[in-house]
Amino acid sequence: MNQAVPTPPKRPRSLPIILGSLAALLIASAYSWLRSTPDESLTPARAAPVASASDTHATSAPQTATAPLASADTPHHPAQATPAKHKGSIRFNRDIRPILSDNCFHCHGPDKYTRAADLRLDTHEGILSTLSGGRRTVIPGDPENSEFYKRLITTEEDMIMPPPNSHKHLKPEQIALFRDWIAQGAQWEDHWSFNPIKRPAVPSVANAAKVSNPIDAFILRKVEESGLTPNEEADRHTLVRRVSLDTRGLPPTAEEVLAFVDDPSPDAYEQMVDRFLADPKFGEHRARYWLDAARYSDTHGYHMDNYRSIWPYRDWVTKAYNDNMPFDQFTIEQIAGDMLPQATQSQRVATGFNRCNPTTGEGGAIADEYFSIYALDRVEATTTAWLGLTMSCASCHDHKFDPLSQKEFYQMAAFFRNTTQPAMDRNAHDTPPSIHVYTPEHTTERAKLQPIIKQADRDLLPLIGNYAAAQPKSRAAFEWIADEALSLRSAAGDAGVLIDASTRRELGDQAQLKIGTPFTLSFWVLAPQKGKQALTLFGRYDPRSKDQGWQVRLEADASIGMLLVTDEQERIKFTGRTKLKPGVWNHVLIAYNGMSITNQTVPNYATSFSIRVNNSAAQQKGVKRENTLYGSIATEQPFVIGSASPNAKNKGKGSQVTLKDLRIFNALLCIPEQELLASTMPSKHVKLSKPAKKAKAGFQLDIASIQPRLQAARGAVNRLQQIQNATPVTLVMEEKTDSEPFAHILARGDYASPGERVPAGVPAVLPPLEPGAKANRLALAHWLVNPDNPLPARVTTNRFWLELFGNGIVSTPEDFGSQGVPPSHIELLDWLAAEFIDSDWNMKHMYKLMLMSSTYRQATTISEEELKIDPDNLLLARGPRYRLDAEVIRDQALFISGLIDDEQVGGHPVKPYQPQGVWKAVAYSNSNTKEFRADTGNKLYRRSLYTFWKRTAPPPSMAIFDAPSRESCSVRRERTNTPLQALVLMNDPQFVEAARHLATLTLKAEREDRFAALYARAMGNEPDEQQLTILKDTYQQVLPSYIENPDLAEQLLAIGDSPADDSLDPAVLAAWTVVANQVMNLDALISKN
Amino acid sequence: MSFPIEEYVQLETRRQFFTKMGKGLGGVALSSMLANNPLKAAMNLIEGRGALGASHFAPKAKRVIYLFMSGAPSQHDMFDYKPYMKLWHDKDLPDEIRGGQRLTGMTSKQERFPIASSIYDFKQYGESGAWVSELMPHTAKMVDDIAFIKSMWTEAINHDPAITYIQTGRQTPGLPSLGSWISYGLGTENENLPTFVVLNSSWTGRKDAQALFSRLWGSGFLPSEHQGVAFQSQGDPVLYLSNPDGIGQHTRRIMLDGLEDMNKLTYEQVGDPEIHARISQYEMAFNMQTSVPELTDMSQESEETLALYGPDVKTKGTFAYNCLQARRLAERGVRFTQIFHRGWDQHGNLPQDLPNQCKDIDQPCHALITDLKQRGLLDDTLVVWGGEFGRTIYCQGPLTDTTYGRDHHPRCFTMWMAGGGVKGGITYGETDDFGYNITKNPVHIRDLNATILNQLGIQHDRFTVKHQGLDQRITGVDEARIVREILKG
Repeated sequence: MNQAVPTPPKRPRSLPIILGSLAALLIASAYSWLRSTPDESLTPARAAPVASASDTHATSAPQTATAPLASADTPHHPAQATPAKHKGSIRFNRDIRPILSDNCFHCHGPDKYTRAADLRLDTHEGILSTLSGGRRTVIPGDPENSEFYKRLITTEEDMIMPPPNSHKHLKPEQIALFRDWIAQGAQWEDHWSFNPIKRPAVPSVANAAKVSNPIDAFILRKVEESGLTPNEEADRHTLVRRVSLDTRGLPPTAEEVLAFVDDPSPDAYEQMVDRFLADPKFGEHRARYWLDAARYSDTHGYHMDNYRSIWPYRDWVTKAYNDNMPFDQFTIEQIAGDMLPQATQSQRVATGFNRCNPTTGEGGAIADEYFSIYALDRVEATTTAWLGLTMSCASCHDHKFDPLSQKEFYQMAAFFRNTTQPAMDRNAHDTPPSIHVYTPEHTTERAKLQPIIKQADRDLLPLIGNYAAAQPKSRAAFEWIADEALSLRSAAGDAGVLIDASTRRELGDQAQLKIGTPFTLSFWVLAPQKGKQALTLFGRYDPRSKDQGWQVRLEADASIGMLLVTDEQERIKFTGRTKLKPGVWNHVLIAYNGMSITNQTVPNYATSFSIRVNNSAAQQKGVKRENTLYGSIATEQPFVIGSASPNAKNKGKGSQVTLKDLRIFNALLCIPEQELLASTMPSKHVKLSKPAKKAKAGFQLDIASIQPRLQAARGAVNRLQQIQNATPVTLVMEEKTDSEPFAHILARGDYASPGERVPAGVPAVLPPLEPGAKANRLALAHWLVNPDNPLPARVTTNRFWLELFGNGIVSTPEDFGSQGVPPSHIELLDWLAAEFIDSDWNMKHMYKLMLMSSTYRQATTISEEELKIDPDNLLLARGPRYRLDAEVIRDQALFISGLIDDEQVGGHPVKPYQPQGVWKAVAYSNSNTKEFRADTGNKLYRRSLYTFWKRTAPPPSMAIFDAPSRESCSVRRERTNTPLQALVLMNDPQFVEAARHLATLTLKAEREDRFAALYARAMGNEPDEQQLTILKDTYQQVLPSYIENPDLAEQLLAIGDSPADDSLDPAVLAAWTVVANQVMNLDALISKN
Repeated sequence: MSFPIEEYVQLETRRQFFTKMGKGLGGVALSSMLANNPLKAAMNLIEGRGALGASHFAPKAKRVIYLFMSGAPSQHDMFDYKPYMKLWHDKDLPDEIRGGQRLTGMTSKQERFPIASSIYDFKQYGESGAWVSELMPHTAKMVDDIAFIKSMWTEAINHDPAITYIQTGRQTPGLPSLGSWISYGLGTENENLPTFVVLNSSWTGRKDAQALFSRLWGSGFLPSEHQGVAFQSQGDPVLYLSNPDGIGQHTRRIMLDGLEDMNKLTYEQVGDPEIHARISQYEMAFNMQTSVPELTDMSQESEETLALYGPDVKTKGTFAYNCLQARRLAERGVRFTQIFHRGWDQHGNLPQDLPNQCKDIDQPCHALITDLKQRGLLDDTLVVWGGEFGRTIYCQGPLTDTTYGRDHHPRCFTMWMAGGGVKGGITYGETDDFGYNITKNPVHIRDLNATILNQLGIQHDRFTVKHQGLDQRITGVDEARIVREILKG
């Protein structure tokens, strides 16, 4: 732990250096003290290590100065062993292993490739091994003859351990510890977290009245040993707010406060806890923590960082918590729901956990490289969230500290490499494998519609042959026949119409397309061999006037695009990704399904439109506006073939294309019809279905005669399309069926250096997969919740604890390995883990246990003594007090101001206020998340869980409050305190608008004592006299300026999307808004108390 | 992860806090004692310094200005002159030169790899005789102040991983950026401004510019206060800086005074020292509301200075504007300023786009160095220029007499450094006749980062923080070398 410790050569040591060198020592002693187990008696010397450390500061400093830190610049001074302060017996896991791990395992640990002298110090055998020349590493009871110890105290520079060039350095106290440990017999313990979970006996404590449940016994035992006195229970106002914030992420309503505060029943507290646990807002709050671990985001994360549709997974998580889904099922469905027998839609949605990783669509990216990156990420997320292991450290080499080999890493990776997912996400929102998530109603309806379409297929396809023979000539059925005057129709010999930059053929009032009415455009284009100039093919639009209209264009990159401009000046432009084949005829079909407002799950994607090129669907790209269609495109411009404006002078320049067989229908044709159109000319580039292939191409087609038989199918197709558009897509996992999971060991983690091929498997230090089970994701899922697996229950209950107490029992929830911080209460953790398993993985049961404990219910008041002895509240002699998370701070502001829209659980991501330019400053210029446009209305006030998460530029007000970027698995948030946070709370329109609404509510409330009312509404508690005075002073000081300057008041009240209440005096409302802003910045409000 | 120094400092600060309680708030106002926010405490205790407390050795530079050309500028057309290529124009790159190196997905299917010799004239400049193309006439004037490294290399071959790599030491997200490391290690010299400022620039070359990512200035596992603060070119330079319309500074002061009184009352009730930290953060925020507008107000800059940077300097968000801003930040002690300029990804149509890109940056770069020098700031300000990798000598897409494109090339590229203890007028490293392989003195991007830290007085392999059980450092697990050959003695 001696990182970042500087050692300036030959200079007087400045204070910070002394402090720095002392730090590790103090921390080590603090931890060893906290790690002591109840069966040990604490000596006075260890009972208050922090205080003693502070006291000894002055005398320690000079001593440290004579034993400088190891560095490349300064010669290494061997440290002399000094008497150990440990009086009691030394415990390997508590006292010895952390020092070994930090200083020795790197070269004498699990990694066989970097192991020096073939010596292991991470195994009992290694510790007792005999070295070359018969020297013994450790001789229990005899430190002076143990080579291990001799090498710590030698004065020979090339002999001393750790070697100077490692920049590792043992302190005299640590060396003394080693000596004493050997002297006491060098007892060995396996690493604690790999040991089986055994439910420990609940300790007895002196103050039994403080024990509400076993949690308290474990906590109190240590509190009593430390000499501290546990705090009394917090008052009821504080408790109800604390429990509400911790269960739901929202403060209680006034009614909820009263319901608890005035409840005389003896189980009032429990009832309150039960009420909150049953609230659907519980799941929303819990989901937020899990989504940090799942690295959930609404964009891909790499390169273009386009929108990705996976929010149904987010809603699955919420529902799972609300349904109190057992954690084993919660695990199995997320890891391998798709592989369960007869997997349900919901179980497939759950597998989104492993589709939340960042993906790329970067042009030059190499598939193999990204397959290995995705697998690494999935191993990291899964092992961090369930196992608390830093497994990804073993991707380049055997783990340096934990018994995890590189081979085992790739065996874990193998579980995730047997998927059908492509390496490139194509920057699409629905990168396969993905599914539509239908409502039950839609599922039923689809089941009825699909047979209708199948029937139409059966009816229609035999006709193709007939058409080939019959070549009917009637054209009457075409709703708009643009080709009439132009001979554009597909007689095989027709040349079609040549179009270049000078072409303009006006055809009068034809093809008046309408928003809301389906249409289909079908035509053939002879694409140019060369030339890169965009051309308008046909349409009703004058680009100079910019009035409404539409046009179809051949883009410079040989793709087809369509532009629609409404009388509301809404511009929608979309382009197919498929490029036309040069020098040959291509068939193009553009279909519009008549939806007026399209699927909002896919911003910047014209979901109502499809483009087919040569009978294959083309992905869209470059949609210029979000896909809301409203207004009219009906225009007085004539229908024009060609690209030239009237009076154009650019004759004969640029590209030339030939257009023919243009047909325009005011209907959405069904697929068989579309296929017929694509077969009206022979083309080796058009891939047809088998029946269509049988037909001879080049026929003339009259759809009119078969149209009646297709009406039902068209209706069904339309409706299916509508359902599909209204249905969200979500990314899922899907296993390849033609291969078994495997991976290659990648030398140094390099995808281009594959070595041994290994099957899927789990680390040997943990229990094996179920015997006989196929080693695949499903087996992995079951293994993660096998009660014999010692890690998941420990890791998960530790995370629950962290969510409620602000710090884990293991304060490194991401690392339960030997480099992680050992548990402050190991027996409590094991008791909780055992309880979790025995309760059949009942999550709400575990939360309730913690919430019911006296430990949790304590007041947060800190005495000076506590602050000295236990500043970080590791002992929990007081209740948890810390700043709320970003989402809770915002949601609370919306809640107390009455702005929040929290009725609906789940749904599309929303875009509340964000400063201009945050996305654009970083975004790829073609990204569909380049332009941020805030939502309006209720979407501005949804819970923060639903805020659109752009991974490469997360919502700034949340990032400023330590929300992770969601680029990788995160199970713990930092909790910083910065001026930028103050600026958010003071100035973010979201908070200013909320302050206005809080002020408005206050002024309109029935209570006379408004200052108290405002405070009470925010805090759930009445202010005292001093607080009231301050609030009144603020009001009285700011009011005159708003009376004198009505403009100022108007400006302040205009902030936010919602209108100000005009029944109130603007000056008064403005002054109250300032008071509300003051209250909403209170430390007490943004903290859990 | 843990931050032992700060943990200690934190305990220590708490101790002092209680001894000072009687002296009122002033003595401890700046002490933050939140468990996960150790730096503020460290900063105060050691007077404005960071986690390192003191440098490992005497620093040559106090601060860095890093001019990042995102997209990878073409070394062949700007600095790495290869006259021999004229003879090879439109001939295929010999296999033995390519040496089986992997290609991006964009050119790997190309049938041939014809060499595109640069169409730009190169000349030698200054006493040092450095080669510079006609695209960079202003840079050409200052070659004796800068050190070119022509032998930079990296492993990453695509933009996203490559820029993440050079900025954070790893190709995938999650690690702290160079600037945040430096912020963490050295702390601030100006408490009213961020320690690490990011300035994103507009550009005029290729429109389809590669994305940037907030991870490029993110703090990874370091406390998030060390993440770069990206100044906005529209609206408030610092997000949420301005009071809302209708609240003036006077009203804000009244509100803050009341807030402080209320928070003190809470402190009296619960005794949580974090509350005092919060009060001081509000004071700093209030101060920033003055110091940042003062920083971005260029009205006091002389016409001479403005002329030095060129006409774009008057347009917010241009590279020229940002360079002047960077000088002002340097004057005010901001530790790390990084300017990003995008649009350098010339896969095709290089002759159309590259001159515009160069025009954006050439005069401002020269102006920045000149300006810093005139004010005596260049000696202790390290300026770094470069992108995430280089470009191929062979052509991507159609090769004609007038146009060509170049694909990604990680095997060699050119960067330059100036000031901050770096020698001027030297060129380090060499590439082969094709500008394809390094033939002398390779410099990996981690060597560059180690060298930057070195100039700041930090020994890179001793500047580590434990995360996921490992002592993490910006230079990663591989050996990194300080490029001493370009450093002043």
